[in-house]
Amino acid sequence: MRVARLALRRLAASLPTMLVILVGLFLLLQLAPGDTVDALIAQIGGGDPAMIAELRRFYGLDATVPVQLGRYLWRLVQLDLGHSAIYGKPVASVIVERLPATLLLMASSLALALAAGTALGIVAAQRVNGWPDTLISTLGLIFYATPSFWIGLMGIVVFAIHLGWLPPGGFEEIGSGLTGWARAADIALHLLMPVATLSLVFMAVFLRVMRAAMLEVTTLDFVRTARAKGLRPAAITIRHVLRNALLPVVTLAGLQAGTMLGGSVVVEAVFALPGLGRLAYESVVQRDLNMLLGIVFVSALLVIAVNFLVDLAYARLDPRIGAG
Amino acid sequence: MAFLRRYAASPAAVIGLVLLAVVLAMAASADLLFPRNPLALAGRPLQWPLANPRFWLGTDTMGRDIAAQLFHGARISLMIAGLATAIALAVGVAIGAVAGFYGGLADDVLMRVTEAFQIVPGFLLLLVLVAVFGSTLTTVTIAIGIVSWPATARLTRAEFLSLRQRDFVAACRGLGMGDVRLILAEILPNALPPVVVYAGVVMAAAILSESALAFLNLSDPNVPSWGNLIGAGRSVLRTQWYVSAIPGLAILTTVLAVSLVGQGLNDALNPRLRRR
Amino acid sequence: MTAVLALDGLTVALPAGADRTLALDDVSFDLRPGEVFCLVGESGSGKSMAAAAILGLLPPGLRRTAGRVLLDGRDIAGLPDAALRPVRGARIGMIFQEPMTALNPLRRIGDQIAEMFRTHTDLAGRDIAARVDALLADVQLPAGLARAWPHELSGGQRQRAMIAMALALEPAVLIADEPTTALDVTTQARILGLIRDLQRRRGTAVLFITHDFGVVADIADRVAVMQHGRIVEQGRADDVLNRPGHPYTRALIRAVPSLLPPAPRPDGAGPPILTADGVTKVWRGRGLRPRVTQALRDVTLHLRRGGTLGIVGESGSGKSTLARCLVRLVAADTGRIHLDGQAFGVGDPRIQMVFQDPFGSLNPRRRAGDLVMQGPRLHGVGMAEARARAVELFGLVGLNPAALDRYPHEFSGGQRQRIALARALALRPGVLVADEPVSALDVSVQAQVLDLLAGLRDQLGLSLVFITHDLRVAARICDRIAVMKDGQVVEEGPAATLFADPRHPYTRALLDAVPGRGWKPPGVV
Repeated sequence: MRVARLALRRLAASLPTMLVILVGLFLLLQLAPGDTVDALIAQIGGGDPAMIAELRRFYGLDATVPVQLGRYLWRLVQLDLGHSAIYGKPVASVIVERLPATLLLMASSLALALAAGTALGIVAAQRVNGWPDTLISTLGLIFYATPSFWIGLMGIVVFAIHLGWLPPGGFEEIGSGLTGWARAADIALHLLMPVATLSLVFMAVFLRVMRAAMLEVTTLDFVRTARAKGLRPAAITIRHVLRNALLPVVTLAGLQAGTMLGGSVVVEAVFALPGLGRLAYESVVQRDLNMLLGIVFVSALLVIAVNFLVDLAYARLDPRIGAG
Repeated sequence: MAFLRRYAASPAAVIGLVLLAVVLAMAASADLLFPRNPLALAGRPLQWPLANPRFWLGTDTMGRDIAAQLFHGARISLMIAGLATAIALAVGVAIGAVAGFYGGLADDVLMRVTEAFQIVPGFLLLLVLVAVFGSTLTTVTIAIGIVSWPATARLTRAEFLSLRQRDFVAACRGLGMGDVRLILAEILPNALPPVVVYAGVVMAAAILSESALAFLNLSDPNVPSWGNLIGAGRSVLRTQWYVSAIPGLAILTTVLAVSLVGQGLNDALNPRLRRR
Repeated sequence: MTAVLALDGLTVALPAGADRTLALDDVSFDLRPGEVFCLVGESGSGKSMAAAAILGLLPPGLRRTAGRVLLDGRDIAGLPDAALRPVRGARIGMIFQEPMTALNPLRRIGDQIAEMFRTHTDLAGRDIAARVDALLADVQLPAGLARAWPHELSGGQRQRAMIAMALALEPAVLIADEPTTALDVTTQARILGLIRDLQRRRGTAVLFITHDFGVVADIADRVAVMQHGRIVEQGRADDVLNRPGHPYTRALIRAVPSLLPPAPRPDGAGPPILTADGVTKVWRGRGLRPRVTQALRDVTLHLRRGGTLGIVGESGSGKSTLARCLVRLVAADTGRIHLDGQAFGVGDPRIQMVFQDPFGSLNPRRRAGDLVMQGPRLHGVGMAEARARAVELFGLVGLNPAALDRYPHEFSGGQRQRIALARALALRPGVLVADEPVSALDVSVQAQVLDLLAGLRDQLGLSLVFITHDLRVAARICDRIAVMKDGQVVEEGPAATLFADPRHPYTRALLDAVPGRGWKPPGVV
């Protein structure tokens, strides 16, 4: 109950932030050198002034800025993200088509990064300054420093081109007609490298934070109390250190969700995945600003949703939050 | 001097410093070693490294010298990252200081804005800015700076919040000191060290962001950026994979160096934690 | 009687680069069943180190180089961790100083107490739960508290829970490392009573570590005094306290302020120099349903010219808030605060403040001289003159003027308070507000700084407001004392009257709770 109330309070607090984001995006849009109509005209190769004026009126681009802002916000509340000139479909429907791939990619990468990162961080902290620690920390640092698209490319070179174990890109075998478990397995095979690529960087971050948190918590007073009570080292680690060390990692997971979404742009581009990230990239290239803003809006919603879940998890872990 | 000794005590930090020096040397000597335009045609395309003594790192798809692009690219990458980090620090520290010191309404408003920037995924915001303002060197640098300031703002705010409670601030108030002087002369010098150390993280992220943009052909195409080179090598990945591999290693080395130096600075400034 | 625990020549070495080579130097004493043995010393004396060494919990980098620790005749000093674990908690229990941080904030109280049984015994869950409830009753905590989280308990309650945990398996020895130092004086009295009571009922031997001679006077059967890692004197409590042999012991006891207030000084003539009338302050949290705390309720106090007003209270009494209101660092909600009959604002040079924390009250990035010169410079004094004033003030507070160019971290705690005093006096104030200025200092340093303060007050004709929680310190320096509780002044009057004949029940409770109340330190008039 306390947990739910707290999370709802945080959710409500993010509404003004969302407003800031939307207004900011809208104003940014106004600064763009061209608008939807210009892109459309360019696509069809030119048009006469009368038609341009008509198109402007059709898209509502002839009204004043405050009016446009009002209409824009009103439409967004109804989840109407506008119309894509390039795809000829409502922005919302295009985004919905591309959402599953990105969600799958992100969820798997976040899960893998968290699981592997915390596990390795614990191992490194248990053997501080020994060779496992040095090895894990060094590898972590290297993965953190390597650009994800480079890892992806090199992965393709090694595993797809030279060894032929994994497909070099795409979401699944098009036209193969697979269904059920076979289809799931096929998708899993295609997503193996992209997920590994995306999660490596974040795994390195979680690893470092978990290791530092474990070492920090071990110096705290209540761990000394536990030792004075005669607990075995394993019991001390599991029952006292671990839970307390997880707190900063959980917080970090929320903060990194947004960064991961941004990272998916590059990974989806490298592996040719039909996701939101690649859609964003294409929108930039095709100057489909409506689509781009729609993607940013949906991304913000996704990040807020992830943060909500993280807040719930944190409140479950720490009884001090939201108390009194 | 004790600080330098503490820094030098960590082998990782020293390695980082050496690597950074190497990269800086590369950037500085670019004009000396490769005086011609690195983006100009230099020889036959797609030669392997060490095959031709003139191009010891080979040539790319358009016949340009990879080594020349590597050295000149060092300058570009460091410059963009450095300037973007400076922008992020300046904006972030200013906002964080005001929010942390004054609290109340100013804090609420500024934190909403900071949160807004943090919720929108950084790279997506970068794409939007590039889409709206174009892909020149200037816009890319400023855009990366704009995307990076929230974290420094939060850090500065946290430092100010805790320092504001300390008795020496109250003592200065009791002596009759005004707000501006308090913020700039008393609190800021104490708040800056962790922020400056964090600059290493910001700079590393800036290098990675810029190279990602360049890889997607969204950065300035007229400069010899490392990311541009990797993107150019995508088409020949099957056979001449070195075109993409070599600049990737360069990025890896630079980011590693910056991270190690940042960590070394952090450990040297906090000797209590250094035993870890 | 054979000792249940005996230290024999225990020596522990410090890592290279510390200010001395040995943390413990040939420490020997024995602890007999059913007695309370106090280990007394100032900070850095090694007393906590001795406790840690007994249980094999020395911090990394320190090693035992010689000596034995005999538990029931068996040497446990060199044993590996695995062999020591059955001893820890089951044969020797331990409680620590900071109850706020000594319990895992993410686990319930009952769970942490039950952990003792789960680790050392084979009892079933239901039996354990029953034992936990019995323990809680023993330490006078309600049984429902087993389901509570640590942050929901007060400091005193947490310490009781810690005691319950330490005594769960009926160990033969209880080591208490400054268990009441972080608690209010009334809470401290209750916890001391509890420990004594439990000890008597169960026959536990208690090794009680403290820096407070008053506590020693209250509960000790035998005492050992430590300095620089060595035991300089030990014996029966009555002997050591009233007929101390070693010069260090004598110096320490001399430094303990007695509860006899000093001879009354002549009353200041004329109207009061500082007045506070009907001051109220409410702290309001942020958010939709903010937490409201009433820090001050209608406080009225007057400070006579040249007098010293003590404000005594426990934590939460509002005394620190009042101090900050008096110098206008915090704006009072209602009421008037006047200096010389006029209203004034923050930063007025006529009234200055000295703070409690010698580490936090000086900007670590400024030189000591700069800190003292800041005030005058802000008010238009030239550089040369400000520096001259700083040199003069350093001499006044007993610091070497050559130290003007050093940074705060190069000074000791007592020296830093002297710098803070010099800074406060730089603007030549008429009134000085001292907020617990000696609470963070060792008892011998405390005495020196108090003497300095009293001397400066007489020399410069200062009027002083002295805030403290320690009645002994208040007795040493204050003419009049105001006692605060829950934001109100419950009693105010001349110090001598207050101590001899307290009116308000809270004042009486406060006086009764002072440890070692009945003991008169020898050598003090």
